[in-house]
Amino acid sequence: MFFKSMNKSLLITLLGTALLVTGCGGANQGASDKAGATSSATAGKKVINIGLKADPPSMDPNISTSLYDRQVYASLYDKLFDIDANGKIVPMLVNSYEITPDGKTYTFKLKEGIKFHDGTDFDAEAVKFNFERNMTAPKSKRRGELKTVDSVTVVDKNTVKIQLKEPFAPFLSILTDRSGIMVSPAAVKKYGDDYLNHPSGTGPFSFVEQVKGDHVTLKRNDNYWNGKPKVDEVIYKVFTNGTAKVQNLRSGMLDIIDDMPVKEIPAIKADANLQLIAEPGMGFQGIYLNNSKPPFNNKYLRQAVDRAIDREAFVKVLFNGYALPAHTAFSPGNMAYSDLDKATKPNPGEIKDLLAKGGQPNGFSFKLYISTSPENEQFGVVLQNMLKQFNINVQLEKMEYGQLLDIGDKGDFEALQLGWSGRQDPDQNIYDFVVTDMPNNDGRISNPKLDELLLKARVELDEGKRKAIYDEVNKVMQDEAPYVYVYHQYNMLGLNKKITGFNYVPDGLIRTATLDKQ
Amino acid sequence: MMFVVRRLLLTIPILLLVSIMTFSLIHMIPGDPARVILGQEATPEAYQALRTELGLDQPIVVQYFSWLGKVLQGNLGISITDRVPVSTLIMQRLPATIELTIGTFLVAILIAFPAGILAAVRRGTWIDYTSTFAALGGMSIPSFWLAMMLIIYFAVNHQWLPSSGYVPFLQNPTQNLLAMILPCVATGLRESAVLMRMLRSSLLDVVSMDFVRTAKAKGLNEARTILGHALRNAMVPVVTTSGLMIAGLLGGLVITESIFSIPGFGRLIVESVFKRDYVTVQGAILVSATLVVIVNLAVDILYAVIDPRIKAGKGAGE
Amino acid sequence: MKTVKKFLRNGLGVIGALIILGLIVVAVFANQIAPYDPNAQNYDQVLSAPSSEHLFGTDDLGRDIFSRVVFGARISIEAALISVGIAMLIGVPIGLLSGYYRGFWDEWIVMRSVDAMQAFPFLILALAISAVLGAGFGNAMLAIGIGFAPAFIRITRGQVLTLRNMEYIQAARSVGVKDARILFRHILPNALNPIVIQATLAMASGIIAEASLSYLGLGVQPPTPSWGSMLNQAQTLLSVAPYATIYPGMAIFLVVLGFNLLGDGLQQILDPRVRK
Repeated sequence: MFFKSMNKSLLITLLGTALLVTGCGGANQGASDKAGATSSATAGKKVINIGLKADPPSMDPNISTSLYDRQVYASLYDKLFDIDANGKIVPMLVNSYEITPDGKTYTFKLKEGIKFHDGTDFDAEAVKFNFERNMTAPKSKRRGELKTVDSVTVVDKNTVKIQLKEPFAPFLSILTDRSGIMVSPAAVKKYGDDYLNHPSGTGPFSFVEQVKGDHVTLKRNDNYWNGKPKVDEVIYKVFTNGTAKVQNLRSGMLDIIDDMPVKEIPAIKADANLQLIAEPGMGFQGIYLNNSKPPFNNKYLRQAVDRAIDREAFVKVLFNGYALPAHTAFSPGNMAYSDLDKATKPNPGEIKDLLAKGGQPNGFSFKLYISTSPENEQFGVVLQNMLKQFNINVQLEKMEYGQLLDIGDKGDFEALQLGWSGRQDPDQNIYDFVVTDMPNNDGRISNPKLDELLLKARVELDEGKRKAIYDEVNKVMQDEAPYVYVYHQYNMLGLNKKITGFNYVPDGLIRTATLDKQ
Repeated sequence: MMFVVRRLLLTIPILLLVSIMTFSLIHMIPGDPARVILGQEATPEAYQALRTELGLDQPIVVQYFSWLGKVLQGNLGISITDRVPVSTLIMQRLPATIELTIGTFLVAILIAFPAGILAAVRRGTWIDYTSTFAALGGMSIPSFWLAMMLIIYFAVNHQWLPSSGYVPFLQNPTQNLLAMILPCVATGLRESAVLMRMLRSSLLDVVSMDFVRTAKAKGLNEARTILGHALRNAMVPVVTTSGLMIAGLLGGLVITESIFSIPGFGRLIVESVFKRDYVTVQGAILVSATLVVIVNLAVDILYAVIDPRIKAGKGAGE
Repeated sequence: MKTVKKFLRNGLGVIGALIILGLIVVAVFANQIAPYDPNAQNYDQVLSAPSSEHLFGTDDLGRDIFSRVVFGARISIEAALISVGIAMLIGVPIGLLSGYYRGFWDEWIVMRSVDAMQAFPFLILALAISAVLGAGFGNAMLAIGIGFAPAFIRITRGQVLTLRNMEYIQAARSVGVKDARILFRHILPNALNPIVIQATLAMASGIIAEASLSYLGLGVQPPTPSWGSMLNQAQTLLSVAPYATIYPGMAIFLVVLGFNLLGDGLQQILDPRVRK
């Protein structure tokens, strides 16, 4: 019955929508495109379609907290500094810069002749405006990152001087991300809170429209300072369903996808038209243990959980090898990476010993909150299975993401699964998470030694000395096991081979300025 | 006339109750929108500032009345996460859902009418039993599972039809229609079963009525009787069912929309619930409930016009 | 006795009853029927296709899908009984009282609230209630039960409205029989048929609703196997392991069909308005 109805339904849908349209003034575009084969609606235009895993919530970097925003920003905005293919910091809107030996004064010479999409000039005043907006706007999410900035002064039209309160090693790294994005002061003044619907930057593409939950359309910035982009439009489309996203990549509807289910990787690899990029990212995933209450105010029980996870097996089962076992906050590309990050096989004798020392020789139970996605559920179930062998009984409780953040904030949990997407500078991957009373320290970790070391690492400008401090930090972290690092996620991009000019950068963001489509 | 006025007046408390329920329900959901908006990078000051700006630090009753006041002036407010008027968000999402609803409805009637009429005409035969059984079967298929199965067969195994990739009709009609086929079938099949059963039983009801017997006695054959006389008279309950079905679909296609990545109205509500976007949830549910109430009202009035036996007193009863 | 005979002659209804009986047997004897522990993970046998060793194949953690489907029957039957039980517990008393006493409460509070609740899209109502209460099986049941309650209020009240004007009820009243006695001894038993039919059909919807909420991630807590949560997990496997989708869905379909057939059959014999 169902197969018969297929042909009918085709007719029905055709009829139905034809009815809809006659009411709306008829179709105005060529319907000659073979569906599924080509992606662009209008002939002759070069359009790159990028599939995103979730809706980018805000086009204003000042209030952004989403990874998906950052994907769009990579086309819409430029930053004072950028990260290159090797993960090194390089100037972007800055032409040259100087840092005083005390590490407290930064002088930036800006590139000249650059204009925002709205036609106004990018200059030292604009830089000052952006810093001050990020530091003082009531809703700014950038205030924490820029806390050490004391003042910003315009020296001349293209020179700006930034004075820090104290030396702050991660400063340039911070300017490679949202705090370094330069938006048009004129547009902000004109639109106020509504700026996010009228964003204006200096990037290779300018804003056309955003339909929430569906897509963001950008068009070429013909005056782009770093060479005219080669395609006419970039469209970011939201695909919450990973399998559907991969299918659209295979059918040619999408040219690039930002992420994919691990199970789909073989299909992408097998497709001669597609290219897979899978590289270790900069973040970590794992479990917050609540250090302030039982059972995890007991160091031995924390260690027992930490040591009982077979991270090699974990990564193999859940990611088919497309993730790295983690034992510290720092992935291989990071300057603070050390051999301590390598996983060890659980040693039953050691765990038994730890349980005994922790006063629970017969094992114990704890409740782990996980968020509701299928991937997170798998995480929980595998973990549960691994710990069970050592009589550590995990009760899983699914919780929707918003609630999870809330509970983390309030400290109302025993264990909670939440990770971090990662940043270039080591400080940005650990300080806020483990230093006493910092905003992301959901685990209520308070260890004077850690606090002291991490503060020292912040003001230390010599890379070698800094690395030594982080080595020390990693040792303390491993001994205390206040947070259980489980794996470093991969950045996984899928590209149609028709796309040329793509350069992978370790932050996983898709830079569209150089892209072309054959 | 009194009946219509009375029914109209009754919709007011219903909508008020809907708004109060929505409002209290969403405010009871643990998790604070300010917290969700700020995400992992929140500072306590930013958090407080945002709560004040969103009016979340005021008593809930105050929040409700200030919202209600604006709604009465036709202003659904501005989404707290997206900074776009809620009415704009709704207008962006409604077309896809309306298209899906129409498509679903067309699939439903195209299957239900022939099957329902055939079952009624040939009642008691194997055709009747088969289609009755098939209809119960159709009602029992979870539509999200059917959707997954259709994707496996038509999109994954054979690549005959896309499993997603909705674009507005005006932008690319062919692609739009192709992307709509699987979703419309996935939901339409179940609705066709409901409609078919309703059609069959109301046809049988009418056939047993006197005037049809008279027609039959005059020597008209049964099939012609059913098609010519009975069908028109059997349409009232069918229209009712269809109306309720359409109203229900507008907010009820959540899962279909998310499986097929269609930016629809149902998904807007669910996404907003998860983002704790109170203003959007309130506005969208109010709109969806208003649609249901209007359809109910229309159906009641239609009933009263067609069937004068229904008196005002029975309006809310049954 | 006559009713039972009549029911047995109703072929489809009997098939429905048999399916549900089968479900109950599977649920009760799940331990004996399932060849494996439904939660045992076997990383050497992930995503193996159906075979004699694993009848329905294994999922991405190497768990036996057949065993999980078998144990899932428990959740489904609990979902059907508990959600409808809650709905009846809320709906029937309110419907009885509301229809019997009528007046302001009936007209303006109860019935308008029922209208308002029925104006919500059901799944969104259940989803919002689940979000308030938190994920988990019990909360999902409560959410579905509350969502179903208005239908029971309406049906019960409708019955009471007809029955309360019957002569024997009027007579009982006039000789001073207590309200409670009239309601529970005279009205309720006579109003029961449509309520039972509604309950059977609601169980079908209850199973689908539980599966839908689990599919959205708001139902049972892992690792408990539920057909809906199995489908939730299977959505990432559509292209590599279609069998992970097929079998749990078939199970839902079959059981829901069972309740629908039974409900339909009961309607044929219990509801005088429905002719054969």
